[in-house]
Amino acid sequence: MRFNSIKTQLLFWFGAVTVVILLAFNSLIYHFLQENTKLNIQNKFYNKAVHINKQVIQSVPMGKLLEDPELKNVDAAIFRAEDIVFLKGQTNFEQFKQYINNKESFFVFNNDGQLDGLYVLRIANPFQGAILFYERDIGKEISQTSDDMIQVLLILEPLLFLLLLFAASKLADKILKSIKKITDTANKIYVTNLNREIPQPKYDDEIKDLVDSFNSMIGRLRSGVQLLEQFNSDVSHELKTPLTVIKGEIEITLNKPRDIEYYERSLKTIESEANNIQMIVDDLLLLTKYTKENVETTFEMVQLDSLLLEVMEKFKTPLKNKNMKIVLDRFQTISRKANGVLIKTIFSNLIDNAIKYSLENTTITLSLYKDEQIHFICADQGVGIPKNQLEKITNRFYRVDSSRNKKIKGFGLGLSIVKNSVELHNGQIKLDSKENVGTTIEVVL
Amino acid sequence: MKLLLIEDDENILSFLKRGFEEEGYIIDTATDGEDGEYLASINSYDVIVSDWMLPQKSGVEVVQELRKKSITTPIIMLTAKGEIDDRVQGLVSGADDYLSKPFSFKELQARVQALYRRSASIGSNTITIDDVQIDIDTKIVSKAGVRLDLTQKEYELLMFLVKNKNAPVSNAMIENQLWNDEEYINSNVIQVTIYHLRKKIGKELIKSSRGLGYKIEI
Repeated sequence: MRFNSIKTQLLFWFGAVTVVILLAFNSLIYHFLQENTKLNIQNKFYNKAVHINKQVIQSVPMGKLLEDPELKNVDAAIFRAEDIVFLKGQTNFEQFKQYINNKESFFVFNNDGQLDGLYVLRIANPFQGAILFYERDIGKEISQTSDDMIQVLLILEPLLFLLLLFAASKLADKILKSIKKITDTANKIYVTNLNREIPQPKYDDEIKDLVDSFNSMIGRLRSGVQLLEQFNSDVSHELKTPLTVIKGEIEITLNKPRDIEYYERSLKTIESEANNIQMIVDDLLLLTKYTKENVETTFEMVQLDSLLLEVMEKFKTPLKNKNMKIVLDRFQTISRKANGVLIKTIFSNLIDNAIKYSLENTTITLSLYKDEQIHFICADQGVGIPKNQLEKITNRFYRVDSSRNKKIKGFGLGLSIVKNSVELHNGQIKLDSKENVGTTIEVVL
Repeated sequence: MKLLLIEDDENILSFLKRGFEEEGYIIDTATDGEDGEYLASINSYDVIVSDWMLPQKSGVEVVQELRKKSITTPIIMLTAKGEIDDRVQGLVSGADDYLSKPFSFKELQARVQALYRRSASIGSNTITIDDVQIDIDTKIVSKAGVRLDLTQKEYELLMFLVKNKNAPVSNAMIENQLWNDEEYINSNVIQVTIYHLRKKIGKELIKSSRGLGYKIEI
């Protein structure tokens, strides 16, 4: 058994609490017994006093009175005024003088744990005095009983304690057994066998809640891993094509001596494929570099309008090649705290897509304005996206109908980078598209 | 040997074509699945090399269509996918072999050779006809132990006749097999090639029957 296990902890705390409760209980009982003893002593003494009183009333002579067997262990003294006129026993009655005129008749003294009793019987005028009775250790038998009781408790309680501890241990085992089951299953779960589930317990209790949470966590992990696997397979697929060209081109070229033009052409091909690989890697880095947690440290005041103009400058040649133009619909001066690189990426990817998927002689309409939020709208007159694929379009490496777009360069990372960048700025992206009419993408920041 | 390459990436297609042509193969190319299937349907190829992911029609679909049309040309698939399921799917659909990208050109060539040998029912890498020996791997032909100096076309013609052993092949078949779609040839060229080949390996080995064509009897 581990020292830190829940069971040990449970038993430790349970034991500690039990001990405290038992101790408190004991001291309560002890106190109660003490009080009870005192009361009993007074009772006993009272009975004796009544007895004495009765005899005095029956005019039993003083000497005889003290010979009564009931009062065998009792010392006595008769006071007249301040003086002792009669004395029986060893007790120094001088010290009790003060009690003669006290209203009370019974007094109990505690002499080193032994309880002594004093009874004062006042005798009326003309005698002007009192008879004092004193008995030593009057509660002997009574306190004996309570002592015995305490002793029994001291023997019984450790037994009770052990019994409780044993029961608690069994109970803990019962609860922990279900937890052990969960642990065992959890231990058998690896990334490769995430379809394993923890069996549901019989009863609808907290353990079942735990099992449910566990199973739903496994489910979430499973879909996460599937996404990752898909992503990995997509990445490797995209990297394999340029690698194939590089490898093949080199192998064929080295097969025999070539002329300079051949080498040049071959190296150009290799260069362009190496650039492709670099672009994929850069895009992937951009996708994974920033998180919601760290992106804000890169935020600074940026002019969104001038960033947009800067990006548009880049597309002059591609636009000219397809005889397309960009029209600015609403255009305002807007500054905001943001990551400039990501904002530029959003602009440039959306414009790039709009150009790539548009026919010649068409127009792209851009808007940038601010109401409560900042809006950037990019509308093209391109091929559009089929309705059923709108949702998937922002997935990494997803490309609408690869057959149609094979001639259009790209890896399918653009929109997913846009989506990621927008979300890093706590924004939203809205897509609206009609096939062969055009696509409108709105970014709200 | 005549190959059909179906590959949509122009750079991959480019080095494959150059590589195979330098090794003496006759190459036809297609850049999408539909073109590939069409070419494979109307021409006869010794081996087809096809990419997996193709525009219009995927490689697997092309293979399935061809097999449906009872075209049994050996097909080797090039795939960038690594998943075992995908490979199995490729083979189940009727492909004869697959190669993962990126691959070594030498390996692709070796596999193409192996598929060719299997489909031409040539068990070993040497073929013997009378006293003529052909080493398929090194493409060396010798007669009575003396190495013959064959041109690329002569060698291809010889192999074509061997593949169609005991059956006559026509001028049209030879033209189709030895030259690719883009080349225009004079029918005289075939006669000249036949003449030179006969002269080198021995007239009696290549029988000609009027109207039917030429054949090698083994």
